[in-house]
Amino acid sequence: MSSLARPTTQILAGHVTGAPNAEVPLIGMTDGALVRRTRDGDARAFTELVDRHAAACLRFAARMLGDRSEAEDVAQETFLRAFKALESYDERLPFRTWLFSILINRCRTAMAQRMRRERRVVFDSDALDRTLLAAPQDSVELREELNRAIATLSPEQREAFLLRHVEELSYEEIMSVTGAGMSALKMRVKRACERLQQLLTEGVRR
Amino acid sequence: MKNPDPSLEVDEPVDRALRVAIAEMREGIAVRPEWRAELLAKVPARRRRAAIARWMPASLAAVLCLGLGLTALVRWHGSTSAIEPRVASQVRFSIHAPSATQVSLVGDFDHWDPSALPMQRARDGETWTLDVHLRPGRHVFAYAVDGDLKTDPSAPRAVEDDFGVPSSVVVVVASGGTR
Amino acid sequence: MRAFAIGLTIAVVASGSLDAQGGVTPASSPGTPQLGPSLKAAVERLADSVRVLGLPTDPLFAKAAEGTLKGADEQRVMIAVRRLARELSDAKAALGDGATGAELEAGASALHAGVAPDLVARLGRAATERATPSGGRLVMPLVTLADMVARRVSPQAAVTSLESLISRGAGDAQLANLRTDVERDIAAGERPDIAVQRRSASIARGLEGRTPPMSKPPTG
Repeated sequence: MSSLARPTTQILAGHVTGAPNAEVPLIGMTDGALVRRTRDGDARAFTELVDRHAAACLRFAARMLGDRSEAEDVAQETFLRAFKALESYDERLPFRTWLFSILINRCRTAMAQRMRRERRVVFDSDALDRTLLAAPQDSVELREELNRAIATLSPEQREAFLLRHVEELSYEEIMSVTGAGMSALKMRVKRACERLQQLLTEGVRR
Repeated sequence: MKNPDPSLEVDEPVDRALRVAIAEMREGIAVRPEWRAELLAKVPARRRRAAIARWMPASLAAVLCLGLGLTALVRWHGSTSAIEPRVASQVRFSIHAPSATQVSLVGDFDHWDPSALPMQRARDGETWTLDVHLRPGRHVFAYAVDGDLKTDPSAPRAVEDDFGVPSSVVVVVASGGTR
Repeated sequence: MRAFAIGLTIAVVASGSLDAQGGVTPASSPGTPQLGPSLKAAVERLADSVRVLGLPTDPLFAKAAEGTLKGADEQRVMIAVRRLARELSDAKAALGDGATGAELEAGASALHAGVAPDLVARLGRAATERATPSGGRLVMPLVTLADMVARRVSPQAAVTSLESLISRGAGDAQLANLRTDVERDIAAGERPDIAVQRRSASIARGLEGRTPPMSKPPTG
């Protein structure tokens, strides 16, 4: 049994990970080094990767799907898949780019599943009798009109716009994570910006 | 990756309304500690160190005993983590059950799963305790003592009694700015 | 501590100085394993409807799991789950789109206790200006309201007292004290409405002279 844990020991869901005297600082390590350590069996290294990239994954998924709890599910699946696929990660590629390619696939799957599900949503008449809104809403973090505006973009435009302007990936990176060509991507970003500008300006004038 | 042609990276300028919107969208999403813990618990063990099932009390900054034994009111402080998770509070649950062999905490926070949060017997052999992170808000709970559900005599009773078996309530609230 | 001898203490461990958590975090997820397949499917269908309206779905699964653990049959569980969905929906209508999931759940508990939606809305409006961190300012007032009404305080008297305390800058600790004191008085035989008026007047006197930490100018 460990002695009284020092503050730096992490306790995760009831398990103590990492021996109390393993003081290797992970903060300064590159993502690639962390991946190598994870492959060698150091669970703290993967935790550090999660902590570095979770917020960005959640942000992208939340803006993409418009629903925080779905975004959380998708982000979790992304990390779990990444963990399982770590052997195939090539350090020459930035870890975030590799992680985002998994995330984007998960988001696309989630959207396809949602569309199938929404077609068979059952309205329980003794529970609810309200008007259905077109866009999914869990928009505590963004104002209403912005959420609505994003929801009007096609999934491809939304994806490209978010990756370019919110996650600030280069077009090269976006090509590699989405599989789309450069000119298609630039066009999607342009159209998305035009659409959003139009909707947001109209909203302001109203 | 080779350096991209800089001219390809230039987008058309965006107007003010969209710039403001983008700044808003760039705002971080708080990472909930429960989400994080749930994810890490699902990560398969590669060559994990020995899993220690019992929780040992970490060094504690302070303990507040709130209410006069009838109300559970919990204050929470911001986390110092670099990723700024949405804050949860650490709540200590204790129950005096000297003849019990197995006690667990059940409630909305663990979906009433008696296997999720087993409590530990304290050194006196009669008290069972567990520290749990709870999100701010109202939580309904009970103790599963050798299979029987018990309420917490020092906590308010939950107003809902949908199933004929009562539960207790704890409220986790924010600290600061309330004086 | 006497509370230990009585049997239970719920205490807070302030962990601000710890970088990492010192306790366990529940690893809950929707679709709890212990729900039977047909119940799970029914709750998921309801959750799909509820989700598109911007309501939290986790409470529905938690309610279903609670009923299952407590030995209720599926029909009884679904009645409770549907009722909760309705209450969350009504809470959102009363408290507005800005209410967080935790606030909606607290609002639902007040509705469950029998408070009319317009009174929930009224308290929500009064509490919106409180100087607590956003995302939680409605929780304690609504929970206090629910508890007092469950103990037979009339909803009108409860809301009026709470509004009065809130306008004087009462924090969550004062509201918790109100809850405790009123419960004790009622258990000792006092009439519920009298108990709440007396106790809130006492707390209000303690708050007088302090500048309420709100944006509104202090009332006299």
